[in-house]
Amino acid sequence: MITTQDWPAEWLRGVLELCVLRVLADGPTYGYQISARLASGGLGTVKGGTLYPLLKRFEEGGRVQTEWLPGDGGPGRKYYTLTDHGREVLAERSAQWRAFTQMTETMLEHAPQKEQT
Amino acid sequence: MNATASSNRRSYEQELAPHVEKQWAEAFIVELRLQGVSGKNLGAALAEVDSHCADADESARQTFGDPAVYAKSLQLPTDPANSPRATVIRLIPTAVQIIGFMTLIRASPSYVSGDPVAITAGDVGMFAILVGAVVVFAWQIRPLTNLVLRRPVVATAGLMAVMLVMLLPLVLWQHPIAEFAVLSAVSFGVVFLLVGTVWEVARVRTEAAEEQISRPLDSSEELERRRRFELRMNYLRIFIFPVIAAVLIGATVLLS
Repeated sequence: MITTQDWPAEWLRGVLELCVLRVLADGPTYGYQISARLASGGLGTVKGGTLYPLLKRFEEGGRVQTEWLPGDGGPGRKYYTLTDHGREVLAERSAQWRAFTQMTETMLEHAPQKEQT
Repeated sequence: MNATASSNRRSYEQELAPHVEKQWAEAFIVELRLQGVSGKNLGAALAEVDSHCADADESARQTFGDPAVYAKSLQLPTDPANSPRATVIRLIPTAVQIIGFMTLIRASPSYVSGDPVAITAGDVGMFAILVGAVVVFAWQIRPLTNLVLRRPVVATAGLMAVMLVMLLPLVLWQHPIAEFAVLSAVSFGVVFLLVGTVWEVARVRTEAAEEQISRPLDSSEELERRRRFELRMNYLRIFIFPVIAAVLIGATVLLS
């Protein structure tokens, strides 16, 4: 089971865009469900004030298409669907991220350890 | 209980976003209106907040934070119909109404005496300041409304200062520069008041649908019901001038 830690805020800011794109790659979904998936994935609570401006930027940038559908007995929901351009961005950023984390890991592995007395 | 009766008991904001706190929704709408965002984009942004709050069972303030900050962060496009120039043009019918209204009030002491209505240099000066103040307000509507909402004491002091400046010409320049027969002054006032009123009613009826806040899944019946409600609110604002003028004139004639 993935546990949620208090990740440094700057790490979350850097990784949020990529994680949201990844959630969207699984199929059309809406804001609250994205936020729930991020939380259950171990990223912690992502506030609406952070998530929706990001989704709006995705929409403006052509990474997602949107459609309003009636909710289950509640208000309507805005569904986001990843476009081909969004998938390209996801693939490109995922590759970059892997290279970046690998590079970071290599650096950490070679960091001098504190000598035990 | 029908939908209209039920909606009358809820505020406008609660009807648009029932799962969002009224004050939060109110501030969010004000901020986006000030930014000149169209009613359609505004309605969609508010509907998404409402949808999230309903699913998350959280308050809008908890998850979206300050409404003005959140509204700004969305960076929604400005509707050209809400540009400062368009706002000034939109105010013209009301300005015509006010000219007619003020003329009728100014002429009221002469209704019974039948003396000519004297226009002083101070009247012209006061009118010029009033027009200038309205144009400046329409042009700088965003920073000035922000001032009213966020620093009400400073805004009230500013408004009082403008009113004092408007009264100054009346005190300083009391010499008449023109005189009009009562009938001419009253005719001028009535014509301007009527033209302004009819013009504003026509404008509101035409533009109400464009200015209306609409949610993406609103049915045509819901939109029509809210459009009628907004029209009624606008009629109240428009007809207040002819009603007050009629009451004041009636009272002056009856009490003399």
